Amino acid sequence: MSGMSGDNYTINCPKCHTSQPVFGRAMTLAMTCSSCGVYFRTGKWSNLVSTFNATKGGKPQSTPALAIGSRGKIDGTLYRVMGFVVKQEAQYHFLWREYLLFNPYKGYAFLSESGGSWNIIWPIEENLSNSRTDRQIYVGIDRFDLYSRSRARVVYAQGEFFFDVLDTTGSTETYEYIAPPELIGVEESDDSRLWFRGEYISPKEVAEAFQVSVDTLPSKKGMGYTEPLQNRALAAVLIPVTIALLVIVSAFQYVWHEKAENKIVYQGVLNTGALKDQKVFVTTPFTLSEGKRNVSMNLFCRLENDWFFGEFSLINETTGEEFNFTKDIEYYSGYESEYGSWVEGSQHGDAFLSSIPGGTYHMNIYPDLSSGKDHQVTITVRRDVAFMGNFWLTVVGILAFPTIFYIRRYNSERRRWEDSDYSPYGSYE
Amino acid sequence: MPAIPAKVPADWSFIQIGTTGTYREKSFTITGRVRLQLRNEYKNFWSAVHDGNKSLWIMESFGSFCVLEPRWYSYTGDIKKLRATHTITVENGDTLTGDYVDKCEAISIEGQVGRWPELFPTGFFVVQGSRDTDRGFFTVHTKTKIVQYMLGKTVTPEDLKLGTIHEWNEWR
Repeated sequence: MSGMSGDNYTINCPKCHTSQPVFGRAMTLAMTCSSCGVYFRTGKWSNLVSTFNATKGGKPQSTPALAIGSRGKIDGTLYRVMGFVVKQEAQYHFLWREYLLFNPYKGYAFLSESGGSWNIIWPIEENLSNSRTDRQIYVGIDRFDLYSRSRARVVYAQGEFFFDVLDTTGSTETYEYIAPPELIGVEESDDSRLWFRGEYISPKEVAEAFQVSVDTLPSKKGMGYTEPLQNRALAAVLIPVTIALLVIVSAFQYVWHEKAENKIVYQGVLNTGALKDQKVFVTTPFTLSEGKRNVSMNLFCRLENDWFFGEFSLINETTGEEFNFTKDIEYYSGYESEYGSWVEGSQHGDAFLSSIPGGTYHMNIYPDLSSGKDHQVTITVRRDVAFMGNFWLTVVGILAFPTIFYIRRYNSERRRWEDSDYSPYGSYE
Repeated sequence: MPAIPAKVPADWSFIQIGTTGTYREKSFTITGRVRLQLRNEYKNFWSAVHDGNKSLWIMESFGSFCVLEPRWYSYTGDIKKLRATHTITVENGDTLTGDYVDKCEAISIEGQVGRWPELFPTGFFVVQGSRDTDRGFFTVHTKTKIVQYMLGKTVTPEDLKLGTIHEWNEWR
């Protein structure tokens, strides 16, 4: 069986007496006059007529972006826009807009718009009082954090309403809890407690649902309080992927470390005092194992407010091939009455050569010394050392992207809570 | 002189007399309704013949459904506790917390309906209480101090497997 709504359900405006078609039929309990703009209750029990002070010259204070009577499909449900209100928060006086939507099979819903960000909101049957604490509500395992606790008043209305929107708005206190992109809320007064849930809906989705240009919707300012952060899918996999990469790199490093020869092939002492007029110190020959592997050299010298510099030549005794490098160490210390003891530099120094072919080598060392002091420099040469530098560079590289990513997300979350009195990030003043 | 029930006003109900459905695996057929016009809402109480010759009420408002057992209890507790956010204990030992209080301004009836005590005069208050899916619907006559209530559970239209409903062209 089917039917049309054109049952000539009308009511006369109590102020200008213009006959008003009532689309919502007996469900409509309050409406505005399409002729003179006053707000009135349709029930015989109330003859109150309200006007909006901010409305001047009969022009609406705020034109609805979605026209009364327009239709749009959201989550598979076709809704008709029944009414439009502009509400003002009592403490901070900011404004937002709500559209009352209706479908006879699903009931009513609201589209709420603030700063160009939208939420679709439905009343719900569940009583969530038992899962409610001062600052949170738990729905299953999902935690919703208190974002706002507010009172408001209607400063402008247009269209039809299934309740006295002026009276109910003025008498209720609203709590909103968020777990972006979703929200849970409750409107409480002495006479009622209405739970609702909602979720963020993008301007593009709103425009597509109601078949209007997105350019006709209010321009977006800042971040919506339920707006999901971008790259949610990436955020979900980034930590597991990062952990997996770190495990893989650590495993490679462990295997390399275990396989490394790490053998001392030369250890000797360069006594600079014994050099006299000689410019070069020549080590005894030592053997590097086959294959191209690294060689590390460690220097140790008991310097005290002094320095040592050397030019080094690692020479293959068979081929004559040379590998040249320099190394310096310096160490200073002292005491200042204002700052106490201080130390700068080190008595150790390391040099690292990669891909050195196997063979018999010796090393020529051309030392440069601070004048007048003799030093004993202990030289230790190792073959095939498990070097950690590349490992740590790789670890830093792996962690860099997630670190930047989560810092940006943290900052975005902070911005989300900037207008809330209940920010987990503290005061913004 | 007894009051004459008003004619049910036009609304967007898709349930109608003759609508069929299933509750607790037994079929029912809608035979009539009592419509309460509250100050900020309406409540349709659809009366149904269930499981042959039993009756039940289906309370409906804006897509919200609750099946009420057709037994009216008398409430003898503190009438002041029948308000939003306050909790009371009902006949079966359950506790219910008040969801809302509203005043009934008009009653209309169509078809054949089950027993509904104290319908007239209007001007009584209705109170709905809940706990999880449990619901209690109270009528509070403040002058006579008579409070009666029914108990039930919320359901979805899909749970009821409704058939022969009104198909509104506007929402096709």
